[in-house]
This record gives sequence, structure tokens and C-alpha cells, in this order.
Amino acid sequence: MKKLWEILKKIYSAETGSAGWCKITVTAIAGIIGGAALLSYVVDPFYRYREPFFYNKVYYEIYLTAPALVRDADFDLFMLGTSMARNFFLSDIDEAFGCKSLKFAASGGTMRDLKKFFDEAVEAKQDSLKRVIFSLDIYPMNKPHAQYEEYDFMYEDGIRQEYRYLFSRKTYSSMIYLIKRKMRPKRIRKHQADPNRMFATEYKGKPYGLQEVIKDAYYNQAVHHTQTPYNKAAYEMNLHTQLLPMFDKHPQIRFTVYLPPYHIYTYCQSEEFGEADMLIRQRSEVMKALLKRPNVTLHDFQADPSYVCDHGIFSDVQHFNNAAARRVLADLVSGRRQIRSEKEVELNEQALRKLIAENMPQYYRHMQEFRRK
Amino acid sequence: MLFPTFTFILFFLPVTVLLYFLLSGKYPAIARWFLVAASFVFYSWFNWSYSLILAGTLVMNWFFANLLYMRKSRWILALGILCNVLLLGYFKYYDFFIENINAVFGTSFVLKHILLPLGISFFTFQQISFLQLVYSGGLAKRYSFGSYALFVCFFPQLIAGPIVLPDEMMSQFDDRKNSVFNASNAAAGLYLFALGLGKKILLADFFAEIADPGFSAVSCNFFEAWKTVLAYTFQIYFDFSGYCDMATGIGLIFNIALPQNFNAPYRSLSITDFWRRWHMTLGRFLMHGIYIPLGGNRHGNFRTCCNLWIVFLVSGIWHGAGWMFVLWGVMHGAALSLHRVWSKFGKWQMPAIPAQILTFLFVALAWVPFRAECTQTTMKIYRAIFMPQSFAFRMPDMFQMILFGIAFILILFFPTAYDMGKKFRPTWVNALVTIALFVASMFLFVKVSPFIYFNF
Repeated sequence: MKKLWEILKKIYSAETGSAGWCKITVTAIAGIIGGAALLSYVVDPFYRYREPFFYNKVYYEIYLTAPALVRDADFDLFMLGTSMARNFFLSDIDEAFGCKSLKFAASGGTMRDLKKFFDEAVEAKQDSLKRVIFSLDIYPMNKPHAQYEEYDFMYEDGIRQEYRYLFSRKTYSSMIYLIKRKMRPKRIRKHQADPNRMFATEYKGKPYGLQEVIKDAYYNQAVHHTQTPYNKAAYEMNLHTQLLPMFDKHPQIRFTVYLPPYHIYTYCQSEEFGEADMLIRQRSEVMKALLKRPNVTLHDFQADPSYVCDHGIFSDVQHFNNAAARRVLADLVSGRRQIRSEKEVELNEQALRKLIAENMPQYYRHMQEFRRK
Repeated sequence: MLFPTFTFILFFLPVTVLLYFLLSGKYPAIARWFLVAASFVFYSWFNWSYSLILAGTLVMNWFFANLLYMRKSRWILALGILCNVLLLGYFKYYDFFIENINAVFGTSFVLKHILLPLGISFFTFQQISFLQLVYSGGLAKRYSFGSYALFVCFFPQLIAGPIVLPDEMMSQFDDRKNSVFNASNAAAGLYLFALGLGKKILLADFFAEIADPGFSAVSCNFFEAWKTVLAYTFQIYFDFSGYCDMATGIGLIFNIALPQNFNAPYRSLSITDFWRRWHMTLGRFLMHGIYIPLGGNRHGNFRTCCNLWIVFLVSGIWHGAGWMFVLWGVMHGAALSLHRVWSKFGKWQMPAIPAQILTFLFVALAWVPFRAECTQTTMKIYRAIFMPQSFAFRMPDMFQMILFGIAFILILFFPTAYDMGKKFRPTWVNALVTIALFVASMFLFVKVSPFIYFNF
């Protein structure tokens, strides 16, 4: 033990001489920094420099991979939305619209994020982008921030952005993830590996139904105090500087905008928190503004009981499955639930309010039962 | 330019060091001007127009210094100081002053929203002390403009100190020995820089992630308030002392020894002791520049207490244009006066450990108005601590607990980075520590936040 202590002491106090110390330390630091940069450049986990050449492309981290995905994909139809758009498969969109599509479903995306993705797609495809399908959520309209800004180095060029990418913590954590995937290919998540599913979370055995909806509503209730679902200033900013300019600045693009079906308990919950009225008004105002745009076709599924009261299609209070997504596509093509006039907007508003009122007792009962459990 | 950035570490610092020592052997005067130019590049990186202000103040103060060399007139000194104070007042306090005028008299003078030039408080204080010393004949010799310019602009201490005295810097710039690369200084400097980098990136920035939500939350309970206060207490220490360690380290690489700015302040046994250990160069400036000219402790206890209050009011306002800084200054002034009265008339001396805890708690609580942007936030935290509505305790996550644990151990038991730098030996262990701190910090550069004291 004493000998070991002596050895440790010797190692601890072993000196190299100041000049040698400087050389060793600086060389080691430079070597590690250089090596790390080279590794990032070769693996390139967010495809900044090229398409991956020694591993299969993974559809993940949309805020980081978005610029590369639009750059590398061949498409003339762009589907854009928050996580509400995730369970659409590209083959279904292609078949429905007879186009070559690309889908961006940004979980937790805000309006500024969606606008950024849209701008990236327009910039990458210029005139070849003919059509955009826009899954328009009302909740993100009330969020002032943009998630992509945390990774703005992926959207800009320049030496500073290069090294921010090469040394980003996210770059290294993703490299580790890719290595793990390479080593255990059986654990690959299908929605990340399959270009047809692209960001979809649909998988075999994923639970759907009323219990999942109630469970999620109960969770939302618990965390509601941490959220700000209604923010007038952010809503105004998003409407006038993000959403409407998309349509106005690109008259050559045809936009199919739809309000995705939420489970009715989403609005019941908003009603419980006293926010439903404001959100419904926002919904109507946005729809009326969109009706004035000649390049926009508008659909509203939020007041359609065949969607919003069908427990079986939802995995939580908002997200629906691929079967429902296919129905939405069919409705978009056929013109079902299309909104053509302000009168129809108002009728839908009334229908939604009626649906909420009808479902409130059942919502309270379900929440109480779940709490008791 | 921030120290913990790739631009600084990979390009600016190595290139500047290399060119400086290539020049300094044969052409020391050119090397000095090269360092001044490099400092201007460093400063202009934030905003090029700042460098015009810096250059303007340099020329102005050199002009006043030359007038004072020619004629030791109190009026010239007063005019020189007034010009500096007015400049500082305009850039730092104009909006604050107008806001208060508008609030009190109901007027509607337009605010200018002037962008505060970084480090203006630091270089203004340094230049005032230079004029004072020229006037009093306290300088060891008459220095060249090059040395003076470098004394003000020397980039390691330009933005956030330490606040240096003319003689202690300019004599080093003029010393021929310092113009030759010194491997042992460079090694110690590199080591100190790595320690400072680690403090800033691996500790201060993580504490900021705990403190910031606490201050911005609408409400908080007793435990959350304490967590926020402690997190900020550690954040500001590691942030500022980390910056000073980096500055001292860079200074050493250039063979320039910067004065010590921190000496384990959270181990202080009294508030007077705290101010001998915290931001020591500011304390030194305030003592020589304000406290002693006001009479110091030579005119009885009442005058001494009044002088302490004035010094800390100035200190509070110096830190920022806001009433919360004034409150912070008043709290410290009051505590120092109380401690003075206690140590003069009190018959009982508090044992070391309770004294240390009490001092730490006072300092931590006094940081609340310093950090809070408004009265509401300050009151929110104080109310949660002193009149708690809720004691709901939520265990902090493991990472936060480890972070607090490390901070307490470092603050209470570890030697200060300054001492570690002084006792530095070029061992393998120190090389490994330096490399590890550099590399670990490197991966977090992307999210690095500005130093707290950049705002002052």
C-alpha cells in the first residue's frame, strides 16, 4: 500500500519542464480539437456537407436536418405541419395528389419554425415547388419563440457557423446515437429509417383509444400551469408576419391549408381552463383571413364529429393515426369539409362550440374516474 | 470577443502571442503598439463603434495628463475627472436619469436607449486613477503614450477588469525582461486560463440555467427561492472569478502579472472581510479614490459609517444604472456600518463557523436585488424566503445536486485559482487537468453566455 502511495505521489509530482509542458499541452489540445472536428466532418450526422455515405439516412432531429433534407430531396409538393402532420406517409400523399412529396412534421414546432422550413423549401426548389399542404395548428400561433434558432448554425453559412456545427454538443450526441444504431440495427425506429414514413410515430402495437386520450388529458391538466396557451401578442405577430406572408409572397404556389382534427377533449380541456373561447375566435379569424387569399384552399376538420369524437384514431388528445391521415388526404382531394365562405366559418364555429358543450359532462366524468384510479 | 470562443482560443490568442513575441525581442515599441492594435480588434469585435469611444477617451486623458505634467493644477485634474465622469454618465446613466425625471415630474423626455460600450466603467476608472497619480506625482516615472495606451487597452483586462493601477502595469510593459517568451509563465498562464474556463463553462453557465428560470418565474416557494438564490450566488462567483482567472492567465502568457481579484470570498468571516476578498481591485480603487479622500476612518465612527455608505452607494451605481443596484449598495453599506459598530462596541465575538455562515447568507441574499431586474422580482424572492406561502419540496435532479455539491467543496476547501497558479508546477497531472478542462469546455462553447460583469 505504501509502495502504491509512493508511486502515485511520484506520478503526481513528475515534471516535464515548462517548455515541454507547454508543447505537450498545446499539442494535445490542438490534436483533440482537430480530431473532433475531423470526426464531425466525416460522420456529418445532420448531413450538412453531403448525404451520408457509410450509414443510412435517419429522419430525426428535424430542426437540425431540415436544411439538408430539403436540399437533397426531389419533391414538388411540400407537406408542412407540427406533429399533427407526422402520421401521413409520403406514398399516400403522392397517390392522393399525383405529385412527388416531402413532409416536415416538426414536433413542438411553432409558427416561426414552420415559416422557416417553408422558406428553406422555397429557396431549395425555387420554381419547381408547385403545391404546399399546410397542417395549421392554432396552439403554435400563440408561441412567440422559434425552436430552430437554437440550431441556427444549420441554417447559415460562414466559418463561425461551421465550427458551431463541428463542435456542437448535439453533433456529438447524435454521432453516438448513430453508432449505437449501427451496432444494434434491430432497434432502429422505423419512422426514423423509412423515407416513406419520415417522422411518423405509427408503429405496430402502438396503443390508440379512449384510455390513451384520457391519460394524456390528465397529464396535460397536471402541467397546464407551466404553459401559456394563449398569447395575444404572439398570435398577432405570427398571423401577420409569419403565416399570411407565406401565401401572399408566393402566389404561384397552391396552398391546401387544413385545420387538423384534435380529439374533442382538447377543446373540452381548453374550455375547462377558460381558454376555448379565445382559441375558437382565433381559429375563425385565421380562417377568414385565409379565405381572402386566392391561392389557398381551406379545410376544417376540427368540428367534424366523425374525426374528433372517434376515440379509436387518437393516441393522445391530439395525434391521430395513419388511417385517419389517409382519410384527411381523401377529404382534401374530394373537397369534403372545405370552407368557402365566412358564413361556413361561423357555422363551423357554432358546430364546434356545440360539440364541446355536448362532450363536457363526459369529459369531466372520465377525468374524475381516471383520477380515482 | 469572448474568451471562451473558438475565435479567441483558436485564432486570436495564438496569433497575437506568436506575433507579439516575434516582434518584442527586436522591436519592443512596435510590439507594444501591436498589442494595442490587437486589443482594439478584440474590443471592436463586439461593436466597431465602441473602439472610437475607447480611442477618444485615450487621447483625451493623455491630453489632460500632459497638461498635468506641465502644470499641477487642481482645476485641470477636476476637469479631466469631470470629462470622464460625464462620458460614463452619458453612456451608462442617461436613460436611467431621464426615466426618473419623467417618473418624478411627469415629463416625457425621450429616452435614447444608448448602447453601453463594454467595459466603459473599468477603463474610465483606470484612466481617472492615472490622472490622479499624475497630479499627485505618485507615478514612478513618466511613461510613453504606448505604455499608457496598453495600460488602458490591454485586452485581457479591458472588458471586466481587474481594475489595474498605472504603475503596476506600465512598469511591467516597459521591463525588457518581459518582452521575451517565458515558458514557465506561459505554462502557468495556460493552466490558469483552463481553470477559469472550467469555472465559467462547466460551473457558472450551468448555475445560470438554474438561477435564470427562478428569477423569471411568476412565483416560487421557499425551497425554489433558496435554490435560485444559491444558484445565482455561485453563478456570479464562478463567472466573475473565472473571467479574472482567464484574464490573469492570458496576462501571464504575455509575462504580465495582473493583480489578484478574488481570494475565496465566500469563506469570509465578516462582511468587511468579504470586501477584502471580493473584487479586490474595485475595493482598492474605491478605498483610494473615494473612501480615503472622504476622510476614511479618521473622523470618528459616525463619519466612518457615512463614508462607508457613500462608497457602497457609488459601488452600487457603478455596477449598473438601476435602483436595484442602489439597494444592493445600501444593503452592503448598512452591513459594513453595522459590522464596524459591532466590532468597536460589541463585547462578544461570533465563533468562526456561524460568522462564516451568516456572512455567506447575507451576501447571497444581497445578490437578489443585484440580479433581479425589478422590485417585483426582488420582492417575489424575499417574500418566498421570509414569508413563505408554500414549503412544497421537490428534490432537485441529480445533476443539480452534484453541481451544488462541487461548488460548495470548491468554495470551502479548495485553494483559489490564483494560489494554484502561483504554486503551479509543470507536472503531468496539471497537463491532464488543463487538457481535460479545455476539451470539456470546448464542447459547450456553442451555448456560452456572456460574462455577468460585461454589463458593468
